[in-house]
Amino acid sequence: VNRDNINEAVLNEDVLKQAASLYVSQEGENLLRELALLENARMQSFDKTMRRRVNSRIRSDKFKKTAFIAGPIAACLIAALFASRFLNVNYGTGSASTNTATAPQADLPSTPAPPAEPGTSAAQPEDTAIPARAEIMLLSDKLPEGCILTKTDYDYEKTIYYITNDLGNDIVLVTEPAEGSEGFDKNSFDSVDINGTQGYVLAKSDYKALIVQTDDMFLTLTSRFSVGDLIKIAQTVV
Amino acid sequence: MFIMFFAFADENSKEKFELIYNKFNRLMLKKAYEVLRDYDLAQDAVSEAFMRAYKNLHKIDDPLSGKTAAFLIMIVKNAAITMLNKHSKSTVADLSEYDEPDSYDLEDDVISKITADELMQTIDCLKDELKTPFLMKYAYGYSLKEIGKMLKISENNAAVRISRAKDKMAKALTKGGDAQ
Repeated sequence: VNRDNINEAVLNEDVLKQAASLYVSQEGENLLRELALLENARMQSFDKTMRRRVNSRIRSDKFKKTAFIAGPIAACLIAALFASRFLNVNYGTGSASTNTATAPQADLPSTPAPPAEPGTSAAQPEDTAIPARAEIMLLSDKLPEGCILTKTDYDYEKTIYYITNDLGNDIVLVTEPAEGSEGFDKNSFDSVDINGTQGYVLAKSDYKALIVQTDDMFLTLTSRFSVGDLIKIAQTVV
Repeated sequence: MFIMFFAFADENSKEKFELIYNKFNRLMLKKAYEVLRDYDLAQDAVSEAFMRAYKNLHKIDDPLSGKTAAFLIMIVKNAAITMLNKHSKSTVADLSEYDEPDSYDLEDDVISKITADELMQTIDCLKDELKTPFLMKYAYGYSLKEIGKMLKISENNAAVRISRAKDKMAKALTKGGDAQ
């Protein structure tokens, strides 16, 4: 729109057309700029995604390359291992029959091992050193889902079970015969029902404890985090 | 992509439409969303706008120009506002009362000392329901019938809106106030 024309002229249809066209052109330019910004932002986000993809591709390529190099080496090593074993066996059986009965079998026990005591866990190598009075449970059968028995220790009359649940919470369960236990101050504990048996809970900021006393057994469960986890285990054990 | 559902007269039209779609669909969605604040409704508004653009494809000379951008944004905003009104079951501006074009004749009103900027500003200050038909007529050369069809209003209503737009502009220019 010519400024002089507008100043001098009456606003007629032609002027309106010019003004509208100019307005639309300006508006269009603004929109194109906005679109460019939008596309730029989109490209930046696209770049980020691409960079992530490229990086992961590079990592995967590196892994493939390493596997490509390491694979044959590992295969060679395995082959060599098998070959040496094969040669040893051939050598042993082929040379002299007396060799087979000497050195390798010298370490084997001459009599078969006695069967495990009833109630003991065959998976626990410590079983051979179990004190006579220790009460052993097949705990791994009793634990709630998601809990794994990681270790078992014995301390005279006490059996100590180390348990980990699927949340990574470590729990220690100590069992001992009820008659020899030292007892505890029940006033500082909250009571909780464990399958009809009275239990006692202590929840401190740095540890949680649950004590349950049955007719013949005294159980202490401790954990750093959750009383709930202790109760769950106690319910399955008691 | 809903381009597939359109029957194009020739390959040229299809290419033109694809260019427009690929270039402006995101911006149109953004503008529709600014009005509707609902992603699904905004998508519907964009679809509706592309439908209208498709019907007027022959009038678009340069598919990637600013003028095309302004046209598309204008119709998507219109579609969005129509949907918003429908959605909220309220009418923002019921123009039925103005079914008769008013008698104000801008051409007879001598306005001296107006600048291009002032003129642009008065257009900019118009409400969308007045600005859109006004620009469609004066910037894009659509007839009242075509405007009515595109904006889903009667021909008479389109004429009323344009007349009201001119009225508002004239008043704003003579008083120096805004056109709303």
